[in-house]
This record gives sequence, structure tokens and C-alpha cells, in this order.
Amino acid sequence: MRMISRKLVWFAVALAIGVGSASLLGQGQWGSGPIKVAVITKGHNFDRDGFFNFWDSLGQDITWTHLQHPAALEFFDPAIADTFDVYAFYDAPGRTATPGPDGKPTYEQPNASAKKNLIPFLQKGKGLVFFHHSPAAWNHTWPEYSEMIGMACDWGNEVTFKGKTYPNSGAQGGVKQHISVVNKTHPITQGLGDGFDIVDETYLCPVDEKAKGLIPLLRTDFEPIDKNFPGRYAGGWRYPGVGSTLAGWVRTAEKSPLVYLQNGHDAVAWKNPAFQTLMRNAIKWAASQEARDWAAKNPSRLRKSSSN
Amino acid sequence: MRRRLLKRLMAVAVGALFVASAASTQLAGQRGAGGQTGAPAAPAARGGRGGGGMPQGGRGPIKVMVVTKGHNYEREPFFQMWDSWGSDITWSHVEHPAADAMLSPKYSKLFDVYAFFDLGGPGVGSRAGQPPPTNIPAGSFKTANNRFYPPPSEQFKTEFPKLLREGKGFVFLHHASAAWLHTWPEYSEVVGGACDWYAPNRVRGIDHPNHGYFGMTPQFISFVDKSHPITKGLGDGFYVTDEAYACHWFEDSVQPLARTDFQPADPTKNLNPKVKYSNLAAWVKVAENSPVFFTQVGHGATAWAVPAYRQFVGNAIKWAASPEALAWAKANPKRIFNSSN
Repeated sequence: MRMISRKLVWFAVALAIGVGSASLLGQGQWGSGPIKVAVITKGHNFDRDGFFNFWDSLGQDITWTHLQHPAALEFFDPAIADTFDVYAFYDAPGRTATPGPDGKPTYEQPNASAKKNLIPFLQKGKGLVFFHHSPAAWNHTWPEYSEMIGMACDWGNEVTFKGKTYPNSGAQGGVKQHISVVNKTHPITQGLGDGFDIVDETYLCPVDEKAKGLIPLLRTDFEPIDKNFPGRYAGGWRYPGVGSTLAGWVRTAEKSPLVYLQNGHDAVAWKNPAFQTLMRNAIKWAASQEARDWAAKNPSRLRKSSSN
Repeated sequence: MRRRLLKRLMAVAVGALFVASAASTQLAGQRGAGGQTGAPAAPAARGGRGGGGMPQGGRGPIKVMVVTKGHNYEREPFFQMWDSWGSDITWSHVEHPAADAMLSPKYSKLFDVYAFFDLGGPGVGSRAGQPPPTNIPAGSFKTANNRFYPPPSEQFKTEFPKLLREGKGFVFLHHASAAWLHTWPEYSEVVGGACDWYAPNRVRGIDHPNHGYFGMTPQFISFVDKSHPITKGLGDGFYVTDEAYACHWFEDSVQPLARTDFQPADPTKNLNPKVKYSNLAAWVKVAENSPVFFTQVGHGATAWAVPAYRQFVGNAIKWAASPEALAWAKANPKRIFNSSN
């Protein structure tokens, strides 16, 4: 009996080690590449393992660091901004509404220092990569931030963008799309040919297609009209007109190169080789001297925050 | 004896089952449903919710900065443990080197407690007979077996003592005891012990061979101070299957809370004979004006799944944030850093 028990112990140990090790396969957490990337999250749940495995997969080119709010916005402080070469945003904070004293909703504010530090931070020429749900960050409390990206979303509340109010945004998961490359000479689209197929969440949000200096890179073949968001439409949600099909662009924010990519909701997208190429290219471009020189030569002025 | 063996078998089996279930939960999360108020209702990417409707990151009143990097770990089960404390804490994950910058009074209003599951300043090396590594960080300390350990930044070295003097809660878990051993000995004094399992090392002037680590060791962790707020009401202790250590713990500088029944077969393989093997498994102490908690337990999902472990560490976080702990530390300050910063 004692012998059997010992064998059982060792079997259980071996089983536990085997199962435990399996989740650690794919060694090299955080990567070891030369580009230092801060990966910023909070304000939207996500598949953490799948997401971090995706960043590990870029590890030959980058060394990445997970950085959540509220610490993340402190890195706009020029004193510590150079800790990273590129800031990659997959966050969506500032959407939780609580009733104010007058009954109107109030939203979470960004850190007190962030509005003051943003313009000096951008004038340093840092690489910025926003993707997927990040245009939902701070829309209600920091409109200039949404204008910097060129897009604003909130799927649970009305959106204000460039002084105009829009209904709750649309989101539709698991949509099979073809993403067309509309600028084949830009470094970010290299290796993608004419485009790629992807199954991913798509949006209906206001996009500033005509923003000064915005260079379109990608468009989706998904038609962004309210009827194509069947769950919301059936519930009575309506959105006027046709939205933007832009799925990727570059522009400048002060002297910083800025990328936005609409794709990248979940592991289905993160495992798509074309999306991996796209993100790798975007990070490498945002970190490049070429991109910083381009941004310095084509600076855009960010509207100063009213509460500065 | 047989009863004890069976209890240990149960601890291992429960651990194995938990790891398997955590792995399948992660897979399920990729197909899973559920949504967040005001968020896109996509069918995927919902892995790792906090449970019980808790958002990732929690929403409790105690603000915790959770520090990792330098040692691989099972990420999702670790994050799920933090989410499980979400009614008491709101936690933010901040990895090195961002964490180094945040560990300063300049940013201290953001957090009440700093929790470490990191290995700050990890070494790089090559296997015996191989050429030295090519990615040696500048200013690294070289060990006898050709491993290279980077120093902390000057800013971190200046600001961290100031933060400790301000009086904040500090919680160190498991391999956090190995941070900065070769390059910042005062840091080990903050934690209350030091480990390096990969290189000969010097701690408090004593030269050790590589310290010991013993994976998946069934152990009983006995509470030796049952009146402390961290252990009160938790009984005599708990069984756990976890990595055990043979490291240099500073028995004379800490207030013991728990001990393990694990004993290495030959402690001299891992420790200088001048240092007796310590079976300390958890303690509290003061560093400058700050309350500090450390537990050696908590390598992986088998430990994180044990309800008593979660209660124990959850209590430690609440204690570290409490006015009582902060007052205790201020009344019993322990000077560690010579700088007058």
C-alpha cells in the first residue's frame, strides 16, 4: 500500500509538472529585441495569455513591458518618457459613468499630470501605435486625446468628437473581412501585398478621415452601416449614415509618428500572420529614425486641453 | 505517516487538476462568451475575467502595483489570483523597467501597496563550454560561473529608499527574494533574505554556492504566529505543493509568521556551512518606515489555487495597506540605506 501511494505521488508530481510546463512552453517571455515597447492596457477586459503570447512572438525585434493605468500616463512625463522607444496602446479607460451631483454622468479622469505632460511628451518624438479599442480612451474627459488619434469610440455611451455628438458606437465581433492595402509604398504595409483576409471585430465610430496630414494605409471591405451590426440593430440601436472603412493610417502628433490599426481584437487576429506582419512593421516604423524625421518635418499641432 | 502521505498526495493531485483546469479555462476564454458593460460584445477574448462579475484588475479600495519581469511565470493563473482579491483591491500590472521609475515618492499617490513577483536585475549567462553571452547589460556584475547581472538604475537607487521612508506597504512573493542580490545588497535587506539559484553568491559577506530550489515539493506550512492579522483565523497552516528553497534568510532581522516542514537533504550543497538552513516560509519586517511582508510560497498555479494561500496573501496585502501596519513600521523604523536622501 505504501509503495502504491509513493508511486501515485510521483505520478501526480509528473502530471502536475507536465501540465504546468505546457503553459510555460514558448519560452522567452518579454522578448529580447532592441526596440523597447511599453504595451499599455486597462479599461477593457482581454484574453491576457493570448495577448502576451502575441507580443512574445515579436520578441526578436522588441523587448516589451506591460504597463497599466494609472501608471501608464505618468510616462508622458518627459523625465521618464525615454524609458521606452514605442508606446503601444490597447487600453480603453475613462468609460465608466457614475452619476454626478446634478444627475448627469461623470467619467473617470486621466491622471492630473497627463494633460500637462502630453504635448511636451509628443514634442520629444516618441513612436505611438494605437490599435483596436484604444480610440475609446478618455473620450469623455479629454477630447483632444481622441482628436490626436483621429477616431473616438464608446460602445456604451454617446461619443463627442470634434465638437459633434454621435450615438453609441457599433462593434461586431468575428467578422470575416478583407483588408486592402491602399498605400503599398509605406514601410508598414510591406509584405502584405494587396491585402489580407482576417476574422476580427469591426467598428462603427467617427473617424477624422480628412485630418491634416493623415495618410491612409488600409481599408476594410466591411460596410460600416448600422444594419450590419445585427445584435445592436435588433435592439433598436440606429446610427446615421455610412461610417469609415479606414482600417489603418499614420499621422503625426506634434513631432511624434502615430499609427492606428483597427484590427487586433483577440487571439484569432493575433494569430493571423498578416496581422503579425502589420504590427511588427508598425512598431519598427514607429521606432525608426526615418519616422521620427518625417514627424519632425511634418509636425501637427495638438489642440491644447481646455483644462491645461 | 500514511495519513500524511495521503494528504500530500491530495495536495499534489488538487494542484495538478487546478493547473489542467486553468489551462482549459484559458482555451475556453478564447471561445467564451460574456461581456463588459459598455464594451463591444464580441464572442472572443474574454479569457481571465475576475470571476463573480469582477472586472480584470478588480475594483476594491486598496490600490496595488503588481511588479513582474526577470523570471517567467504562468501568467493567466497568476492574474486570476489577483482578480480573486478584486473586491478588496484594484491592481495594476507594471513591469520592469517601468516599475523602477514608479518606485518613487513622485508617483506614490497612485498606489497603497507595492507587490513584487519579479526578479529585478536577472543574470544572463551561457552553458558551460559555450562562449559568453552577447547581450551583457552595461555595468554588469560578473559571477564566478560567468553570469552577468545588471545594476539598478541610479534613479531607482536614489528614489526607492525615499519611497520606503515615506511609509508604504510592500509585499514580496517567492522569487522576488532574488532581485538585485549581486548589485544592491541593501535591497536584500529590505526583503529579509536573498537567493541566487544560478550562480555562487555573497550575502552579508558570506560566500555561498548556488542556492537551492526544489520544484513541486509537497509541504506543510505552519503558522508560527497565529495572532498576527495576516494569520489570525487561518488555523495551524496549510498543505501546498510548491517550489521550496534553500536560500539565505535573515532570521535575526524578521518577525516569523510561517515555517515549512521541508528540509533539504544536504543544505551544504546550497549554503555556506556558516549559515544554518532556515525553514522560514513567511515573515513581516520593517524597511526604513515601511511594513514588509515576504512569503517563499507561491511559485505557480498549484500554490495559487490553494484557498488558504490566497487568504494568507490576501490578508498580507490588506495588512500592508492598513493604518496599523504603517503605524507599526513608523514606530519601529529600520534604517537600511546609508544615503540621506
